[in-house]
Amino acid sequence: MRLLIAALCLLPLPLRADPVIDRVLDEVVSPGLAVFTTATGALEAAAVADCRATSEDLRAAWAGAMDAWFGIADLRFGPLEDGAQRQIIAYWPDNGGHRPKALARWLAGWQPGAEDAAAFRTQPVSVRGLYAMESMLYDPRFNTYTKSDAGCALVRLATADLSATAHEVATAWEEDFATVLRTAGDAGNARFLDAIEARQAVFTALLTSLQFDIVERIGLPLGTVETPRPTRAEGRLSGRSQRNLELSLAAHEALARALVPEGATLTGEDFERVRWMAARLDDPDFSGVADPTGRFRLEAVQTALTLLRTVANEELSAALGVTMGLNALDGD
Amino acid sequence: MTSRRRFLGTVLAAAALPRLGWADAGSPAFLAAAQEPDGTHALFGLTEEGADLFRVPLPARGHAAAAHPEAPEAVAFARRPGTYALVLNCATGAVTARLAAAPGRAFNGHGAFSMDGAVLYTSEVEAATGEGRIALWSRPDGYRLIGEIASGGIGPHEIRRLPGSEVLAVANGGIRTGPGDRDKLNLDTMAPNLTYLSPDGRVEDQARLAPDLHRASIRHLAIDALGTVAFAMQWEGAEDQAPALLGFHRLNGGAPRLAKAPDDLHRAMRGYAGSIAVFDAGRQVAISSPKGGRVQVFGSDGRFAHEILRADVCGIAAAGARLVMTDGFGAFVVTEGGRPVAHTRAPRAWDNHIVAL
Repeated sequence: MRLLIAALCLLPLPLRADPVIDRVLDEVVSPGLAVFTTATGALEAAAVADCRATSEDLRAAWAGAMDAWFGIADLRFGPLEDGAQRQIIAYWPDNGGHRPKALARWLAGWQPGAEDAAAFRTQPVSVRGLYAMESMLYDPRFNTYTKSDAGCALVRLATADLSATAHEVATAWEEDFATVLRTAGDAGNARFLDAIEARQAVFTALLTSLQFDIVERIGLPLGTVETPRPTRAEGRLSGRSQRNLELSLAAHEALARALVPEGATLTGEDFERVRWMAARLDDPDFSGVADPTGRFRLEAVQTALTLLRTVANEELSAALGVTMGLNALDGD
Repeated sequence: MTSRRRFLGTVLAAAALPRLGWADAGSPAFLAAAQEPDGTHALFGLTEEGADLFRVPLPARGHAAAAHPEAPEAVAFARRPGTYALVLNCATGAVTARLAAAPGRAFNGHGAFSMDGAVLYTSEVEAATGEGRIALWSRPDGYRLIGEIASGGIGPHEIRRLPGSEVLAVANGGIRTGPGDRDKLNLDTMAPNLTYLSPDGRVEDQARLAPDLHRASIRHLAIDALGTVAFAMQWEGAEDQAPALLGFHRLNGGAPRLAKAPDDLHRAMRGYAGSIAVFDAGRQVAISSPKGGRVQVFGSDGRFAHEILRADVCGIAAAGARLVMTDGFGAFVVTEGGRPVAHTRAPRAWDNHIVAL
């Protein structure tokens, strides 16, 4: 017994465990990573079973992986950012419209029997990850390949690559970064120099993610009043623009709740309102932005989300004792 | 006709008062602008350890500053399109002159002094056309505007003087902006360059990038003691196509040399370098990416050395063999060999640049 107590005393317990960080890890990070690795593994298996775009199983598995992505997409710090893993998994928006060209180039250069997972990892991010798979499964320019075509090889390589990347991210969290977050401010923690920096990282990630929805996920298809850009909507090919937005908002709310579970009343009310509005858009691929009514509805969500972000910034920063930086959003 | 104020100023300047040097300002090692919790802006003088020495309120968001070579005087520049440049006495915190851009001109956030400190150069744009201008201001005449030369391109951003020379290196970013705003109007045709100018406006040399890199806006500069210019770029094309963000060039040295980190680390910079610093006696150069939350360090030969992860980091400056960095969360971090060795934290958001004195 005495030995056991002595052993327990030697465990490197963090001196100042931050309940905020513990909640983020327990409620968002761990379950999010588990779901994402499972879903990308299932996608890889589905592609092995049947790589064709006509496969309902493959499409369902891809949709499952896409859904699961939103569970970790808000983690804009740590393993997803350390080696461009975010871009590898989910390179969007494709502002220059390079994806179709890059896919066509890869497909044209394919030689039967030359499937090399290692070589695939050096390919541009526009042919890798969830959105490249969306093009292969739903873009009529690409989704007619047979089992012996380059398209099949690409789908198998890319889904395996995605699954491997997901596991790398999860492993990096489990073996290293969760501890780095928990020991923020400890001597020897080169990443987070003060305890507050861990909270700061999560808070900033949330606000950046909200901004991403405002400016990119909603802002890109809205375009301008004169020139709406429905073709720039995320998830247009697969008809899941609205679903992606809804899942993204749900993930933001979950992260906000993990950060500040009680007391952020206005933020909570705003999330309820914005999610209610998004759920009633009735515009699966945002093509509605091309007509005034549809545009008005999506614009209303954007406005409500912009207000939510301001409220969340005030309420959460006060509760957490942190502030928002300004360099990442508007450099010069 | 000499005004009364100028006459008095001249008398005062000539009087046998002991001249103030940088030591009288408490010898700040760095200057940096920041946004404070109430949303206002100020310029801070900092010790080598990052402690505050003085605070000077600014009328609007600041960007960079130029330090006079001898007097404890600095010129703080507004963020572009800038409406103000303030000359500050860093010993007292007093604003000793206010520079207003000439009609139709806007400050672009950076400036530099001549060797003897008598002339201040400011990077400016002609608001209507985006044509780059370098304005010349006479310090002995109370920072009177005394001339203007073409910058050699569109949208000049940082300017620096070559060591031991009056030649200016100018980063012509190439981006034409709308009058009085930050809208980018010419991304398809932009053609940045690095121009070397004599004070009389003669172009001594001009370095350009290969045509397929024409969207790499050359924006920030750092120069070692031997005159090698390191420049940092911001890519305006598709993010996954981003080329190197760091380049090296010498006056009349031919084509620039470009440098980037291994693929995955390079991608993580998000096509954006916000600041650049040469340190360790010119042996190392660092570029920062606030978008990527990291600083990447290279040898002067362009070889990637290591990176330091800091969210919202942007300001970087040399402190001997050490590199200091500031971020939008108020941290001032001293690093050595890629590891943080000391830091301070203040309730403010450090802005894009920290200037070593």
